Amino acid sequence: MTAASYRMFGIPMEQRRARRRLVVAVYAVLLLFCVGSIVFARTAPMVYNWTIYVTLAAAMLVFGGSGRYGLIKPFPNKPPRPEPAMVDVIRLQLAPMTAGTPDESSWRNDERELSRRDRAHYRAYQVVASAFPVVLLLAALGLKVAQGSLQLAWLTTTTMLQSIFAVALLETVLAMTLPAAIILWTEPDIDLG
Amino acid sequence: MQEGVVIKPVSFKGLQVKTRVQRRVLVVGYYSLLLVAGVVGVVRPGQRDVVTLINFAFFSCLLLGGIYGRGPVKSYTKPILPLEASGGLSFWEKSGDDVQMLGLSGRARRRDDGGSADWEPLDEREQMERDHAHYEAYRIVRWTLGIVIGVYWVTLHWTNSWIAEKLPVLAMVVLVYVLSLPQAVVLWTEPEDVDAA
Repeated sequence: MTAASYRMFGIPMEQRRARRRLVVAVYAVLLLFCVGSIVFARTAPMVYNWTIYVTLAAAMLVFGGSGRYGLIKPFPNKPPRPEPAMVDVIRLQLAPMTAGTPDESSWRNDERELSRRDRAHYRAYQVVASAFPVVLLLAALGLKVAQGSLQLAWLTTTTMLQSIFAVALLETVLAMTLPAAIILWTEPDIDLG
Repeated sequence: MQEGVVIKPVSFKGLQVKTRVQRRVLVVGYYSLLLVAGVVGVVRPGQRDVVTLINFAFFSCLLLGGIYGRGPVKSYTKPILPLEASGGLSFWEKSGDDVQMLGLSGRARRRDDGGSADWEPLDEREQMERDHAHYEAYRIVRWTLGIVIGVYWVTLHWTNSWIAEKLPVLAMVVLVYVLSLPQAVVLWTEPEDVDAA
């Protein structure tokens, strides 16, 4: 499941409890940013950029799965790009036996890990996909309001567009982080012996 | 029903889906039709009928199966129709009289159960296939929607009002695309020998 390092912010992450706390903390921060983006959507519309950047940072640097950083190995199960030639030269002098043999444990997922990765994506897909019917219904409702066939005092086209924005933002955050979060949440305690 | 294969070797709306070529033709045809429907919906002037849009979206989502038992891909989970969860009887069974609802008149009428009657849980290999299809679909969706959002963000200044006007049609296309993609991946990637076993 995890990359070579089992620590995040100096905290050991072998225990499932620790990983669950991390997931909750990350989502609490992301939720805060989402709420801020939605609240300031009219006065400072570019605030949502920060939410996207923070989500990207959380997905790539904390959770992992999409790069060499983070707790989870890269999902694609492909070796990392070869390092520059100068690195090989240095490594040859320090440990010649390692030349040409990249550390597979840092990127290769075994069969169990691939199975868990796929299952996590299946579960995440259900959650992420369920937001799209909501967007369609909100858009359809907005159209009815715009057409004048539905008239309520509090329901305006602007309100509907803001609702769609809120759902889309939450959906984007979940789409970027959820599979890795599911793995971190469900993976049992790691015994390093 | 064939073991270990997510695809049901049946004809689909008159189109055979036994070989890989036939399945890929089905996938290409499906998305071509979706594209045409999206373009027509966007280009056609005048007001859009909301109910037609929603009906089209949900009908299209179910066509390839996966979510519903009638498509070429087996249903991933047991299809639950309205009232079935609480009463143990499907929506169509409820259309009978009270006596029939109580199960006193023998076997209830069953006109269309969405495939829930002959549904069997997916075996281990089928579950793996389903999960992997969703992994691939997730990657594709993330890339395509990322590009779409990027284009939208870049052209926001010029297209803002246009997007707001066409939003229901665009949302419908995206919905169908996202919900049907795992089934399309299954149909596209299933090896040739699906009907040979």
